Amino acid sequence: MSIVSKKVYLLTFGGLVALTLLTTGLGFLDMGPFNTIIAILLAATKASLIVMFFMHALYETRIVRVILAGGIIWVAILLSLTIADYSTRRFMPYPANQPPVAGP
Amino acid sequence: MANPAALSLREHFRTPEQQRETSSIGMWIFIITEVMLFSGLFMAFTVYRSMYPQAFIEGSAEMSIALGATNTIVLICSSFTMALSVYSAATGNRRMLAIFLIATMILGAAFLGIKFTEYYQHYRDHQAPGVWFDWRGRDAAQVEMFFVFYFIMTGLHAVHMFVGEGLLFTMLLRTAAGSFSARYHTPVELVGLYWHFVDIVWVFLFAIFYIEGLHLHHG
Amino acid sequence: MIPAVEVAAERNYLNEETGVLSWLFTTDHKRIGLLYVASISVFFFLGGLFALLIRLQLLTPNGLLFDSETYNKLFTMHGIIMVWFFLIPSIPNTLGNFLIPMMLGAKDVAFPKLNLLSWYVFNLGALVTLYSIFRGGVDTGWTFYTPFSTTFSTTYVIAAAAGIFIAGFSSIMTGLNFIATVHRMRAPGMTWFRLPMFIWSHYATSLILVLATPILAVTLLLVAVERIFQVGIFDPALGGDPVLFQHMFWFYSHPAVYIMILPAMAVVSELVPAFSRKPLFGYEFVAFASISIAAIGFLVWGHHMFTAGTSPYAAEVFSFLSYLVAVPSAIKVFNWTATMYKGSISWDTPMLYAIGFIGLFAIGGVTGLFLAALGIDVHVQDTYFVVGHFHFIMVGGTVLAYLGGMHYWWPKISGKMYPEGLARLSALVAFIGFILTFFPQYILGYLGMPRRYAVYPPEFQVWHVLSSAGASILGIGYILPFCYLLWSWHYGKPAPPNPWKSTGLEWKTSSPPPKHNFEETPVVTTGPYQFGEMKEELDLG
Ligand SMILES: [Cu+2]
Repeated sequence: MSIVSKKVYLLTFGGLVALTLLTTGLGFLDMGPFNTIIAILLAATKASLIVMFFMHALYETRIVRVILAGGIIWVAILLSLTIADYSTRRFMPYPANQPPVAGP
Repeated sequence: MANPAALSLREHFRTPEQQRETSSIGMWIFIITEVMLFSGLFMAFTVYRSMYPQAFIEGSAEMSIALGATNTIVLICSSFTMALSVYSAATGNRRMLAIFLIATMILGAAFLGIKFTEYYQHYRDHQAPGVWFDWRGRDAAQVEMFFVFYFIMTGLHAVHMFVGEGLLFTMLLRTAAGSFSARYHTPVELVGLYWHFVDIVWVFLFAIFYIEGLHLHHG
Repeated sequence: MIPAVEVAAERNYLNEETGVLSWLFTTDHKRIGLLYVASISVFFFLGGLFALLIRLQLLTPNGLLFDSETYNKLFTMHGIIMVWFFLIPSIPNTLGNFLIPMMLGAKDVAFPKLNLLSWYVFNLGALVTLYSIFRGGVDTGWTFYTPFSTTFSTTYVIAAAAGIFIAGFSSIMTGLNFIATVHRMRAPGMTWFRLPMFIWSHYATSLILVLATPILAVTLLLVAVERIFQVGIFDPALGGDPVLFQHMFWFYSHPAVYIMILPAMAVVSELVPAFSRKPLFGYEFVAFASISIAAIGFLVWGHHMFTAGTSPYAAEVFSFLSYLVAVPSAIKVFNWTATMYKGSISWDTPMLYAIGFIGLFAIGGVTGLFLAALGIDVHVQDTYFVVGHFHFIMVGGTVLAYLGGMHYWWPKISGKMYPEGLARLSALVAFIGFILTFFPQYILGYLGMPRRYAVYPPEFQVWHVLSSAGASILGIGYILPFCYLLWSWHYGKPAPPNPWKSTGLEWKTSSPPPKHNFEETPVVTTGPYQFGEMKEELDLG
């Protein structure tokens, strides 16, 4: 294993604090759907900083990086296939979303 | 304690390197199971967030950004001190290792203190789901759903924080007992991985719960 | 090559230490495997008892013994016990625990203490679930579908779910342990493509265990929260979506089917070459088929929800992907049969089970494709056709392979031979009983008999009686091996180190093996299944 220098830790720390402030600041603006998108993107950036430098993933063996990639892919599978259902339900060809017909 | 690495080599391993790599792989796999655990909740949250966007933004506007942002910074600081703990362990500086472990524990406790202050405020304002919930605005059931996920997800995160505090305490005891050295400090590294992972979860929780309703903040 | 040990070693893992405590605190993977055998045998017979009561009830159209509420509890507890306390741990935690380190040439799994902990956690979960059973049981079906499990059921749902939640951690520990073991505990020279297929399949299983089980945990957690705090996570009246529960549940539970069948394939991939005296045909294909079954198995869960109101577009995608996952399964069946082709096949008991497995798995798999087809699924969804399908996979597949593996490795585990004639007979009894029990269920389902009903129209009776009759034969087919294997533990002939003249590191050590498996760490120089090279060696001996 390799020892990461204190300077790298300090830079990572600074980056994380700056991104937190940026996230909070941008949150006060009304950007419609972009509020969510930007918040998630900034969170993902922060997460990758932590994984790469604090958790040393950048300096780890190949197998650790494969495990990490596997985790990300599986989260993507879970989210994308579920959302594939929910996001296409309103295009149903049968009258599921229309007002119910009065019963007899 | 002439050679801690040799002393801590378990009999079914051939070399200390094999033992260290195996432990590290085990920890990363464990972290992936934790990622899946939280991602199930993120998935459910995403589904309801997309079904009831307005109610979820209304709910988000009830969050205290001051406490939330402070807590985020506190947790990032604790990750920083955790990283420095691992650094101190790797450089064989046991005194600094102990100091940074204690600092991490204090920051973790501060996070939990702030978190429970927030919980109390939500409870006081009738925003805790279940029999305590009372919402005078529109879409009460949907706003309650937001708070259900808020409490489950931050609650599960808090549980992980408590576990992390316990792990840090064990590391502190073992440091005091002189178990770690520059050659053998795998447990500190693994606890570090866990702690950083818990930090990452919070980074996403902060984004989905606190930020979305910020622009129509109620106070 | 390690020279074969001629006589059973004086000291082995069974007599190295004795006494109850030496078992309860053991970290030896072989002993933990046997502890799991003890636990899951109890649950197998308990789940079997519920199955017996179900089949008794269905002897007559109006139900023989129970009212509908009791019947609901019976099939629920049969399902819960069989799925989580027998099938999921069945092969990986028993044979897998026993064999994986030996096949790798390792002294133990990567984390021996975690391994022991997983056994305790498993039993703790089982006790919590048993508590719910003794307090009166659960009636939601093993699937815990909402809103029934959250809003309407008045039974011990939380206790049952808590037990499964806890047992899930034991699954995760096992999966994590196996992955780390396969990556870092291999003997010198044991490259990935020299691994026995048993290892590849268990590796794939472990991937599913660690990736899927957490989602089950969080799903059950949400159900418990909804029940305890009276909130509406899945309650449509409060804005929740019950179908979301199904998404989350099947994200775990479809891959869980592969947790059950991949280890069974692992066993069969060892049995077929050993008793055909030929290398496994298309080794790389079978290895990658295992991994792709695990991976594609995560993309198909929506096929359980075609009639639940999901989007038809998503359903088409899920249907297509479900067809795709049949490809690697079919590759395996082709490769096993191609391995047997022109082999010198011997009809020992393990091989009988393996052949039974291939046939029944093929039928179960093809009927699975019926269910993956959008149109047919609407017709047979929630009928006995589904019940027949998954029992072909789980009972005809997993249980037969478990028994086959138990017989094959029994000499290694116990150091004793089992009575071969009786064993062949009982394999035949189990096979006949199985066909008679579950084939009529396909017909019943196709005729429209819904699952989980305590009563049925009189015209279905003949099929139900056939099925119940078959179940009693099947029961004998299970009790017989249990009895004679236990008998042989004391009275069986001592087993040589390699009674089947097999390849594989586990046969290169004594029977039963010494505490750390090998006298010295083996060095591997060839791939698996080199029966040709062994021939001369054997002729000499
Ligand atoms: Cu399925």
